[in-house]
Amino acid sequence: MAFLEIHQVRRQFASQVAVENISFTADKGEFISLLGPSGSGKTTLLRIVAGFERPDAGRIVVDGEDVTMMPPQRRNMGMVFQSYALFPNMTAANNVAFGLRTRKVPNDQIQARVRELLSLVGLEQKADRYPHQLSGGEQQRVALARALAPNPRVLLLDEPLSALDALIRVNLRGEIRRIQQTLGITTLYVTHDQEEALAMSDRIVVFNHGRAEQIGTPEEIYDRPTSAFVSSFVGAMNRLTCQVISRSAGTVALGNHELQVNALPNDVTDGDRVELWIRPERIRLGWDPDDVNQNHLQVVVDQVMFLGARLGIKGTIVGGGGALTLDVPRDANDRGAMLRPGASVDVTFSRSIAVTRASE
Amino acid sequence: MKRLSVGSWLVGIVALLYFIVPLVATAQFSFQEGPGQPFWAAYTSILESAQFWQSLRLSLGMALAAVVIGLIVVVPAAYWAYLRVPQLKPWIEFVSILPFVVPPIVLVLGLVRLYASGFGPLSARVTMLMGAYGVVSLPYMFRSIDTGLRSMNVKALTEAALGMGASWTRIMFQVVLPNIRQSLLGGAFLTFALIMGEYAISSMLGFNTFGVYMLLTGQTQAQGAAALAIIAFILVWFFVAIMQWVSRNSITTIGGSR
Ligand SMILES: Nc1ncnc2c1ncn2[C@@H]1O[C@H](COP(=O)(O)OP(=O)(O)OP(=O)(O)O)[C@@H](O)[C@H]1O
Ligand SMILES: [Mg+2]
Repeated sequence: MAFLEIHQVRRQFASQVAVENISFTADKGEFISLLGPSGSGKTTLLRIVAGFERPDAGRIVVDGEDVTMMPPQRRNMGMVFQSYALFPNMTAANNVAFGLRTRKVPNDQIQARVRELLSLVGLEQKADRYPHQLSGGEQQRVALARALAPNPRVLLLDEPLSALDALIRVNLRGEIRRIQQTLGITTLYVTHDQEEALAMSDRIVVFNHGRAEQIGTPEEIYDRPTSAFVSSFVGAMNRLTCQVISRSAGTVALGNHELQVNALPNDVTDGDRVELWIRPERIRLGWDPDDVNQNHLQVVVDQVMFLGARLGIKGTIVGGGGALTLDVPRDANDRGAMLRPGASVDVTFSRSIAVTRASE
Repeated sequence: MKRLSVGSWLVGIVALLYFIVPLVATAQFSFQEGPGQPFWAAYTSILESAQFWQSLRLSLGMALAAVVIGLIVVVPAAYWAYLRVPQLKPWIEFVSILPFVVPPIVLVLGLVRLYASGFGPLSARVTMLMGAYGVVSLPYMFRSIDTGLRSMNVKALTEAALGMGASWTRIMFQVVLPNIRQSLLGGAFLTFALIMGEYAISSMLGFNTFGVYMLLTGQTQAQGAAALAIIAFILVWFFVAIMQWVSRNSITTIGGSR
């Protein structure tokens, strides 16, 4: 049963629609990421759930209770801000205790709970430090402990890691996920980092211009994007514009090439323009002329980027068709491929790739 | 240790002289009594005058009232502006400097016209003086508090506290005030010093405040005026120290919320 329900929520600032008819539900203990570019309405929705912002229309329901008009003080939700927002005049321990004191919890219980939370985030040694004596990562751990201390019904995080550097970000995101799973707390997590969303979430809501473009598990979002926006916002995507030669035979023309695809959209007819969506890592180097299940292209390498474990290749398809991005294992060169600018290489990709109608 | 350059020493010394020399000269002059008098004669005659104590009491009361009015009016107003209507800040800033632009005579005439029409106890001259001082000290109060609020993340801290179920009183006393303590003090000091030396408004409303008394003394006894200036100087520092002490012992204990 859904624990947190968001029904047809809409919010407009002057003429700017920040959130437009968004609906989704979260089960108890589910971790849902709100992923989208800057200005797409993620924060606005999160603030509506927290009660800092009123929706113009729609309802927020928590555990069967409609909280749409309830002030934030009474919602019992934990919030973690991008700017940490720790009280500068209080120690880490007093920050964590704040939400317990407002709820008039007896003092000995407060002490125990503060210790428990600080050790959960690995900071029991630094209980008496003030925020300015803590690193950014430590401050955000305190903020997480503070949000969790009063046992909130829902945990809300607004880009909690975006002010931290890369290594701490990766560590801390693993830790947030671990803590969230240990406590089984229903969580909304705002981010514009697709890697973060893919790594942490049970499900992802992809935002674009205030709308939910797609809602699904990380695998669904990555493997079966339902819109061009999602396909290129989450991961990289080659989008090759082709023309249908024969719908019945499943053939399309890309430049001078004839390619085979397994599934064309139902509503296209011969001569229509379609897009092939191919992830860079789905394109293989080399070509076996006997393998009839693969499409073959020749690519002139324009640029080789060393990415550590992988090589990123940008190239141009020989015979027309546009640019192509490849993502190949780093040892590809050692195995005989000639990946340097100007070289021409054979590449293949499967016939079972996604094909959509071309957007006009 | 970083060595200071000759230039910065020079600037420091010049600045020091600029402040110290007039003070020393005034003090020295206040001790130059005529023959047959002890050198502290000017001081005893001031401290024995009833007028001195009366005017001091009046100005102290007024200064405290102005500080309290400022705190009660300006802190919540500025906080609210930061939290809810940040787009109004330029207007509030504009209004806050109006008292600088309006000459005291206009202010006093306005007050008299307004209150003379009869607002019961509000029409008392003392209330008028208090009101005028409240207005005059507004810019100092507002500027200081504005600086304090600017340096804290008002919105996020307030929302963090709200999200944890805090009431508005708790937010004010445990989150806002402790974090702007320095600026509150700054504003209070400025207001206090301003009112202690104020002359124009009180003389027009016919009050013998400390400022008026200083001027009158200056017109009649030269050494006495110098002695009075030194006494005023010491007094202001004394009260500033008391305010500092009070604030340290009240706000931080609230803020520590033990
Ligand atoms: N208080 C406000 N007044 C006016 N417009 C606002 C307000 N808050 C948000 N907006 C507008 O609503 C839109 C959505 O903003 P929101 O902060 O929700 O985006 P976001 O997805 O969180 O972006 P980011 O990743 O940059 O934080 C933006 O175009 C923004 O300009
Ligand atoms: Mg945002």
